[in-house]
Amino acid sequence: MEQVYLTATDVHVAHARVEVLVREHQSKLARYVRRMVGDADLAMDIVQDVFFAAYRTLSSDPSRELTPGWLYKTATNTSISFLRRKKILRFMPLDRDHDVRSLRIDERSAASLDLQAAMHRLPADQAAAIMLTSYAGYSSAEAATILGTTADAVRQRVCRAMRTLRAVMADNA
Amino acid sequence: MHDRIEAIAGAIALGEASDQERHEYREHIATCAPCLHAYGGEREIERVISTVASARDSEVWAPQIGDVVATRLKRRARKLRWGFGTLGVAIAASLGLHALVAAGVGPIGHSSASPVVINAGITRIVLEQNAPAPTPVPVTVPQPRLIVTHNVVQIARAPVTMPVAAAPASAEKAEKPRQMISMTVHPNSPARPQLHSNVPVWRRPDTAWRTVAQTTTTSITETAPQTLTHHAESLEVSSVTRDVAPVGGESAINPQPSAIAYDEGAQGTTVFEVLVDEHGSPTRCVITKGSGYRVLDDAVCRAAKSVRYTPKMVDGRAEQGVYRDAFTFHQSDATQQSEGIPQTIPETPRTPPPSDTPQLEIPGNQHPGSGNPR
Repeated sequence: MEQVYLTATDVHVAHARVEVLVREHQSKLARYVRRMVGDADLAMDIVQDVFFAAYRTLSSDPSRELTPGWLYKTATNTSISFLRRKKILRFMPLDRDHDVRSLRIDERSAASLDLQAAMHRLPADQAAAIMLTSYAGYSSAEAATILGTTADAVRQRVCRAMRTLRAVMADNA
Repeated sequence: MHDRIEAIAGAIALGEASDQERHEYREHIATCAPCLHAYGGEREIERVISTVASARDSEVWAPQIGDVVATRLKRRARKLRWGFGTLGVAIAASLGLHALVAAGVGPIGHSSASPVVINAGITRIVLEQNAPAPTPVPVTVPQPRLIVTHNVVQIARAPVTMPVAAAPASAEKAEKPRQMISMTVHPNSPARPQLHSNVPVWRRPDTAWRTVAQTTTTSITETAPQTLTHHAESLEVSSVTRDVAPVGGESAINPQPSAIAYDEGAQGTTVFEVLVDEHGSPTRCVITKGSGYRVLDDAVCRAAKSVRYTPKMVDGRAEQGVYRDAFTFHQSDATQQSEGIPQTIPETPRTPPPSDTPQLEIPGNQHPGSGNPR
């Protein structure tokens, strides 16, 4: 039986801070997760869980400073867990229609479709590396902190992911 | 070697490569056809990686999950109001009202601000507030009405004789005889009101302790906090058809703290939430506001998890829901009064509620303390 002891002050503070986090990061984080998992609805669920995890963290430790990096880290880990669970299903369909399903019709530019097709074929760690750096804007060192690895490993993954992306672009050219 | 070249290619893609690394990469792909074929030159790397940024810039999807998150956080936010504000207000307000209810009759009057204490033979009972049932919230009113169910559990040593001063004097009887009649709970008495049929009584094995609980309900209206939650609350009020409730009523939850609770002098209010799945089974118990004594909180959660619930119904469909409740434990001050008194506890103190004959209707005759010691 899980028991959580909270004080009223903590709850109030945590609630206000999560509110700020949600306002500032909800769209960017949702797009990021949508790219990672390739499903808009699932991305919404994961992002909700991320913010709720932030709330729980702030409730238990109100002095803790939650950076956007923490949000991305939690979202990445959740997405990777999902991708690894769905690994078999993920590698079976390779048609483009599957890749673009999560994108809005006005978002289906050539670059957007290429990226999504590449994401669909990438292993989870490479997908996370290229998304955290080129997409979310973190440096390789920051991404390494988020992913719990070294900066060189992140660069390597970016390179391999880029190789897949290049192959996809060549196929669709 | 290839790992290093991959790392350098990645650094070039991220714009982090030094001049020396770029030079090293150029020299490598000049002699390594597979690498050149796989990654291309520096310009090619920058062209490929720019796809990611342009794909990101083309995105317009902007989901607003604030309402959804707020709906989930709202349940937590209620803890705030429950934990301090509401509970305190609930107790104060209901003590002020203190509408005593005759068995099945309804509110018949007001009493003083302090709880009615009746020493009834072998059981000391503290009778707290019992406000009328809450009225449903009008849809047009934006303020949510919180229904605070306030359970009072009395930990007392038994038996306790009825003090002479507490015997109903004729003047007092003339004022509010039915109040005392209706609220008297005595395990030996045949006139136990139906209202208290679920009063939990427990007994310490070595000595004679027992708890007596009474369930009361108070409705409090509070202003919604100015946060993300107020919009979601209005949505939820309109969509919920029926909320979670324990099978057997609120008094079905019967916390039985271990005997050490009395020795520790444990008392306080435990506010808790039970997560109930769509099948009515409790999945998780959360102490929103602890009483300060783990033994009491554990007892509450244990009791809450042992009860089945009717699931939350939304548009005729069962869903996961949350049941919120609170228990207040009082430490009885009857210890001193009961010292030196022979203690005899009946093995079956919870007699069924038979007739509705008020046992204090005849002054000084049918008093439970002087009546039928078993």
